[in-house]
Amino acid sequence: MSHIPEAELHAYLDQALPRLRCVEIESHLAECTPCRTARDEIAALRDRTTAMLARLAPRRTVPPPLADLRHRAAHRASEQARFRQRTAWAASVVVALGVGWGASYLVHPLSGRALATRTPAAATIPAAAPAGPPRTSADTAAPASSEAPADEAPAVLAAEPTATPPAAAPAPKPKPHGASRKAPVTSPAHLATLGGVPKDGQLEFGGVWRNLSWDGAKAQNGETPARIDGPPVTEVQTQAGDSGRRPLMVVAQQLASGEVIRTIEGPVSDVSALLGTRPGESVDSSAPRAPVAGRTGLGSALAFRHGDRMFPVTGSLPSDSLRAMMRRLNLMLRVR
Amino acid sequence: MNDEFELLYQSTYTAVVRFLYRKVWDAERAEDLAQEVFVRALAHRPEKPRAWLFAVAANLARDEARAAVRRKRHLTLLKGDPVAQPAFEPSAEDQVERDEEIASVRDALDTLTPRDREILLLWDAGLSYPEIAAETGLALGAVGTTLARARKRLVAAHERQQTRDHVAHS
Repeated sequence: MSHIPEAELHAYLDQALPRLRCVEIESHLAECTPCRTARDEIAALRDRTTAMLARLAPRRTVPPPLADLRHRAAHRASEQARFRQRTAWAASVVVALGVGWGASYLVHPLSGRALATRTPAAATIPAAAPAGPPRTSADTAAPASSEAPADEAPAVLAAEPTATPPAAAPAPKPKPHGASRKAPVTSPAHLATLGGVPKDGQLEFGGVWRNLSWDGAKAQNGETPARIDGPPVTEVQTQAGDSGRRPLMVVAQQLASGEVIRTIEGPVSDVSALLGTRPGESVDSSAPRAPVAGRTGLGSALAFRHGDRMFPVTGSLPSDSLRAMMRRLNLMLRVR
Repeated sequence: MNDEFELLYQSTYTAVVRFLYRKVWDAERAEDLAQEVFVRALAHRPEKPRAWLFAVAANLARDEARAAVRRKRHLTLLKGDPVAQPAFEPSAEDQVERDEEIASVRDALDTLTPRDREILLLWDAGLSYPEIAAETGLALGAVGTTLARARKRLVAAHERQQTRDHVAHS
């Protein structure tokens, strides 16, 4: 029998060999002096390394109670479960938003594409808008309409401030001219940034706000939406009304100064609620010929009423400036 | 199951601390990491807990080493770090001698390749050859060869170190 390999002698001394192999090695060692010498040297080497490593030990350690570790493990497990729950919740919200946006895009692909690819040229509206005939619809929608003058002369009313202005309703930031934008579907919560909250809580705007291209807005409205003559239109938003009623429409325009003014068009009751006033509450039955300014969540507002429709112009401008803007309201021009 | 884990904990905790200490060279940190190892074991309930404990300990020690490098923190050798305290209070001269000996062994250990050092420490922690092979990915037959080489190199490096020290002191 040949001599036992060194590595096997290490394994033998480390008791890492099967019992049968150990018996074979011990038989060989009994007869082989060189292997016995090698075994003794390896045993000494092994003992020496063990002793050396024993010096590299920390002070005597006492395991902390296992209950402490169990408590830590349980606490960590609950933290992880909570984190997973939060993550799943956040993911579901993101998915829901994505699905909502996608569904809106599918339902209104034209408006979405039109706004997403809006160009500066498209955002600038021609100064001369075709004047439609004065509307002669019966004045039945607004409760205060019986007190209002008839269609032949536009009545002017003031949109009064709400008793308690909506809290934390920042005015929308001015948007750059012709900026390429997606077509967001704004939630009713965003409505607060557009106007006041209904004062008495009785009037509520359901549904969602939707962005339209200017052409889309004209097509939906049947005529050029109310706007101030001159400044480029940066945003058109609409909210579907009851069947048979024309929707609420908000046309945002940006002045050279960066200020954004909004012209709102819609049924008197809806617009009043949007501005935080009761329909007819601020109607001046004497119908002053000049617009009267009020304060809303959007800043100053001047409202122009025509039949059952109301056309407030809002913006953070001095009342004189707003009054000057009002004179350029295309609808006012075409009914005079 | 709980009793089994309790038994494993009581029998292995010190070995895990020692194993970690020889990697991070900080007794308190070694204890913290050892507790972390057992907390993870409680959560995972591994099938082969003993080998698993040392595998996780080795990973934690590696992470610790990387973090230490990132912080560019220089870990001074056992300075002010209590090590296996004898029952009696050693004299200042004995303490210096002890510290020098410990530093010498540690330097010798550092001369080994990472693979040799890992296998030597796993063996010293009480792992069997099959467990060492499973943990390190080494063939079972190669464990003995690697251990033989590591032991010889450790002793040789230690003797060189002692010779150098002796020459320096004389």
